[in-house]
This record gives sequence, structure tokens and C-alpha cells, in this order.
Amino acid sequence: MNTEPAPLSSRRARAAVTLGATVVLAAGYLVRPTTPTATTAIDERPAPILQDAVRSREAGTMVRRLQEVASQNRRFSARVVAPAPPLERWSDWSDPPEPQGERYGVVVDARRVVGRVGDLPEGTSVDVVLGDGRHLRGSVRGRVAAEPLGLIEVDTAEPLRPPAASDAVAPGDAAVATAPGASGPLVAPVFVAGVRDGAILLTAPVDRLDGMPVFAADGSLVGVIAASASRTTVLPLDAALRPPAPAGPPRPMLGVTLTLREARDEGGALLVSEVAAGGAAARAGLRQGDQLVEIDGQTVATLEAAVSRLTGSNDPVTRVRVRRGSRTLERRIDRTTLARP
Amino acid sequence: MNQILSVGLILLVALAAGHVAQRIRLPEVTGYLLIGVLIGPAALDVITHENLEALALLSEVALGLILFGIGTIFQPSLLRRLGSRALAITAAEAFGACVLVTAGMALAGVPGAVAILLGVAAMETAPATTLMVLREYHARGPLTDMVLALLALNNVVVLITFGIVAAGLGLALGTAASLYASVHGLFWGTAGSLALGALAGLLLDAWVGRIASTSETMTLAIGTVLLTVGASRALGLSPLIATLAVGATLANTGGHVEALVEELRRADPPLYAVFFVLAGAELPVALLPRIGLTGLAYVALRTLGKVGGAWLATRRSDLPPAARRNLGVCLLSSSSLAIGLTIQVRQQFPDLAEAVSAVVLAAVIVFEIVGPILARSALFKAGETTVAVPQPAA
Repeated sequence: MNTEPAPLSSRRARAAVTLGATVVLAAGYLVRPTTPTATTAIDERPAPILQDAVRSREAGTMVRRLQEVASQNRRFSARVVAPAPPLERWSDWSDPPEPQGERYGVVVDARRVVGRVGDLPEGTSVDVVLGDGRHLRGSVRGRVAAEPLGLIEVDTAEPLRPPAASDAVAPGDAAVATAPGASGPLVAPVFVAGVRDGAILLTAPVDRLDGMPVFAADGSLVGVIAASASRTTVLPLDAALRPPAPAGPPRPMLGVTLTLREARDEGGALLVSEVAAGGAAARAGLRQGDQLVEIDGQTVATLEAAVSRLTGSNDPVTRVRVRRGSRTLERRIDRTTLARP
Repeated sequence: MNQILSVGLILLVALAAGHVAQRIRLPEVTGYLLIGVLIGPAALDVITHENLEALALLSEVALGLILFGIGTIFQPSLLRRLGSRALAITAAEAFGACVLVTAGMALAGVPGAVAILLGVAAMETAPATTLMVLREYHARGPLTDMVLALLALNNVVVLITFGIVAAGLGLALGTAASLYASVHGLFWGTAGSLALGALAGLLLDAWVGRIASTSETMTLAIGTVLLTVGASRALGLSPLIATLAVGATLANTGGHVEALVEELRRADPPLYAVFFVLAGAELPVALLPRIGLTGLAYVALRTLGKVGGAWLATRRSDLPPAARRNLGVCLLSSSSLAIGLTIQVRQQFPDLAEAVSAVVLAAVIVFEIVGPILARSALFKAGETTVAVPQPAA
């Protein structure tokens, strides 16, 4: 029989291990590096999605936390109900215009909400349904820089409370867009991909949610969705509330419509689904069915990237490379040759 | 369905699946895993993703108790007998798999960083699956002793290696916050986890001596393990290393470890059943057809590395020849740690995550199903099963 005592059988050994372990834990915890929180410009690498997830199940915890944030802060959000457009023509009775879709907004001060007004004329009376259930009457009082948003002044005895603005967000931060939908609360977890020129870029498109506020995990307001800037942009309130820039000469359009189609053998393919007759793209020789491969020498894999490159450039000439059947063609789209009315 | 209903269903289908597995001479754990695949989101979706999330706690409990049990084998007598040899075999089989997989993937054109991460994931041996097979067949003998020791050491070595590799790659690729953050992360993940486990183990030992009732002993042990897992997660430590350390500390206090482990084993069967059915339900079976040539090469190279490494390291040892021949195949199961590593890869190296995940997860499916079957066969060939395959009651 082995009579050697176990290493930790003596009091002295246990005390030493206890002391050593406590020192290691305390020291390690005290000197831990802090997580940076300053905003950073987006770089070429995609940002980590979740900051503190260790296992996939923590994604569920994160989503539950965001749902709580949404529930607590939905009172700052609003749904704007505009009057239905009048049926002006006989044909409207049998073929009514497309519904505008939901309009959302967020409280900005004691009497005003900024929300999606689209092309509603100034002075239009609207219903504003707040996230806390209150129904208020309001009227459109001007546009802001971030189309299609505008200011709505509401008629309320009790002043509205705007949410606290977030200090900073960082790539990888989780946030949540929320508003009272027509058939129940809407909650959409989103993730910050980066910050560029004051706008917060998300990792996924959030179109049709214009005007919806986005809250960080701590409940502060990150900004408001303004998909007109890009389909993945959230604007901080101060940027969203800037007055609209004076109208300049109309920007020439390229006259091309793109779709993203899943091609089974090659992954997603960006296809030209329509080329407007007489447009710059038609003059350059693009045809329906062409697969867009490169724009200005850069490979484009997503619809957002393609639209961003095609519309974001100030260069009047855009070089594109397309695949047509088995051939690869280079085309130059020259916007300066567009005939103006 | 609600969580209580799902747990009840899991237990009953696991019971049935275990019986069926035994009838066709497969390990029970294979039955649990396969029934989990069947009732999980990949097939019948009886157990949904929401159920899996809600029941994650049970899996954590089970894994913590499993690792605690494995940690308790680090008793002084066993360490003296097997310590240095086990360390050498662990190094050979783990790094053998790592080097072969890394080199093979790199030769196949996989980017260097991805190849290295695949190599690290290949080092892992699933502790729970392998332990379950050993227990089902009441395995006893030199092969079993060595496999138990290797299970414990393997996980510690893999976690430390991943920490070092992740820190190095993070600095090389520029995705790490700083050199200090990488070094601290490595230190905190290993030394901090060991320290937490040691404290919890000493606490457990101090208290259990004052308890006479066996049910209170089980409450204390389960509570301590859960406390350790929870504290690890709150502090950003590794629950695996911490719970291993709890068991190892207890094993070296000269006290009550065997009685405690015996008591805990009574709680094992339902927890193991739930754990493995959930593990099966979580297996991304849809990825299997996408395993591709890269995945098949990964499977082949990992197998060669583990089996070959173990054989090379035991060639001149005093293990019986049957044990030497069959040691490597007992180490092939792969699961939660590999999956956990792919998640950390997704977090730290999102560019590489897709490539790494697809290969590792598809390979995990293969090894989780095939591994226990091979381990069972190895135990029989080595003559270390002390009972015949149990026949179901007539």
C-alpha cells in the first residue's frame, strides 16, 4: 500500500495553493486589458460580429439582451400613419397605387418626431403612434438632409422625452432597431460594421425600415435608419436632423438596374436585369443578362458594393468588366454623354 | 415545444435509442447522437433551435461534471505511474495530428493561417464521448488507464496550444488588439482557469469532510462544479480547464475523491443522455455533403496523426502490445472543443472562419459517429471490457 501523503494533504500546502491561486486571479483580473470603445474608421477587413461571445449559445443571450433593450426603449420610437393617397383617376379604383409601406420615427425633442415622411407635403396631417401606445396627431413640418426623413410636430399635452444619445459605437457592437409595427412591436437585431464619415454602417441591409431608431445594448440611441444614404446606414440624430442641402443640378443616372441572383455553380452572381434605353449604360454597350464582375478595377461581390461603387463615384467615367456567356468584356460608362432634357 | 416537454422526450428517446444501439452492437453514445440528429433541427425538428438554446444549461452542467470526473484521475499514484509517459503520448498524438493536418492542408493549397487553425482543431479528442464508451463497457486495464490520462491531458494541451496559436496569428494578421492583450489572454485563460479550479477544489474538499450524507455530498459537488463553470464564464476563463482543475485538486488532497466520484456517477446517466442527444441535435449534418476533398483529407490526416503518433510514442513503452495497437483509435472522437474552437476562430479571424468551420464541423460529424464505434472495437480487441455487451431484459 502506498503510504506517501497526497501533495495537498498538509495545511501548509493548501494554504500555499490558496494564496497562490488568489494572487493569480486577482493580479490577472486587475491587469486585464480594457476593450477599446473609440469609433474607428472601417477598414478592409470585416469586423468581428460578437464582441464577447465564447460559444454560439451566447448569441442567444445577446439576442435576448437586445430584445430587452428594445422593449425598454420602444417608447421613444413611433409609427407614422399617413392618410391614404386620394384615388384621383378612374383607373385607381381598379388598380390602386402601391401602398407606401410602414413609416417609422423617433422622438427628438418635447414636441417633435423625426420619421419617414417620403413625399408627403408640408402641413400634411398624420397620426403618430408612439411605442408606449399613445396616439397623437401631428403634421409634417419640413424635411431633413437624410431623405426620406422629415420632421413631424405632434400635438401633445405631455412633453415627449427623447432618448439619450450613445457616446460611441465600435465595429462588432450589437444594436437593435425597434418600433411599434401595425401588427405588433418590431425588433431587428443589427451589428455595427464600422463608422465612415459620421455614418454608422451595419453588416446587413435594413431597407424599408427608414426612420426606425437603433439602440445600443446599453439602451442609448445610436441613430436612426436612413437607407437613402445607403441600405446599411444608421445616422446619428445630429447628422439626420441637418437641414437638406440646396438642390443642385440633377445627378446623371447610369440607367441600369442590378439584381443579385444565386447562381448555384458560382455562388451569388450580380446580373444586369434591365438597361434603360438611351441611358449611359446602354450607350456603353451593357446588355440585360450581363454579369457584373469588376467596377473600376475592384471585384464586387454584393449588391451593396456594386451600387455604392456605381453611384458613389464622382468620376464621370466608370469602367466595368462584365461576363457575357463565355466572354469577358470591358466597358466604359460615360455619364457626361448623357443627353439632358 | 416547451423545455420540460423536450427534456422528457429527450430522456425517453435516448433510452430507446440506447437499447437499439446495444442490440446492433453499437455504443450507447452513438445511439444518443444519432437519435439527436433525427429529432433535431437537421431532420424532424422536434427539438428546435430555441430548445437547444434553452437547454444549453443542461449541456454545460453535464460537460462540467464530465470534466470534473476526468480531472479526478490525476491522483498521485496514477500520475507517478503514467505521468511522464502520458505526457509524451499526448504530445505525440496531438502534435502528430496537428503537424500532419497543417502540412497536408497547406500542400492542398489551403491558406497558411487556415491550415494552422485546422491543425490545432485536429488535436482535440472529445473527452465526454470517449469516457462514455469506457464507462458503458466497464473498461478496466492499462489501455483504459492510459486513455483516461490522455483525455485529461489532451484537452489542456489543446487549449493552451490554441491560445498560443491564436495569439500569434492575431499578431501576425493584425487582428489582435495588442501584444499585451494576446499575452494576457493566454496567461488568463490557462493560469487563471487553473487557479480558479484549485480554489474551488480546495473549497469542495474543506466542506465535504464535514458532510456525512451522500445526497448532500452530491449537492455540494454539483454546486461546486456549476459555480466553477459560472465563475469561469463571468471572468472570461476556460470552464474546461477550470473544472478539470477542480477534479485534479480534489484528487490530490488525499481525501474523499473516490466516494465523491462514485456518488456523482449516480447522477450521470440522465445528464449524459441529455448531453449527447443535444450534441447530436446540434451536429450540422447539412454540412456533411460539403465535406469535399479538403474535408476528407483532414479526416484521413487527423486519423493518421493520432493513431500513428500514439503508436510511435508507445513503441518502446511497457504497455501491453494489444494496448499499444489499440490506443490511437480510442482517441479519434472529436466534438465540443473542436466546435468551440471554430466559434473562437469565427470571432477572432472572421475572414478565415468560413473555410475552417466547414471542414472541421463536417469532420466532427464523421468522428463523433465513427469514433465511439472504433473505441468500442479497440476495447474489445484489447480485452479490457469486463462485461459482455449487456443484453436488454427479455
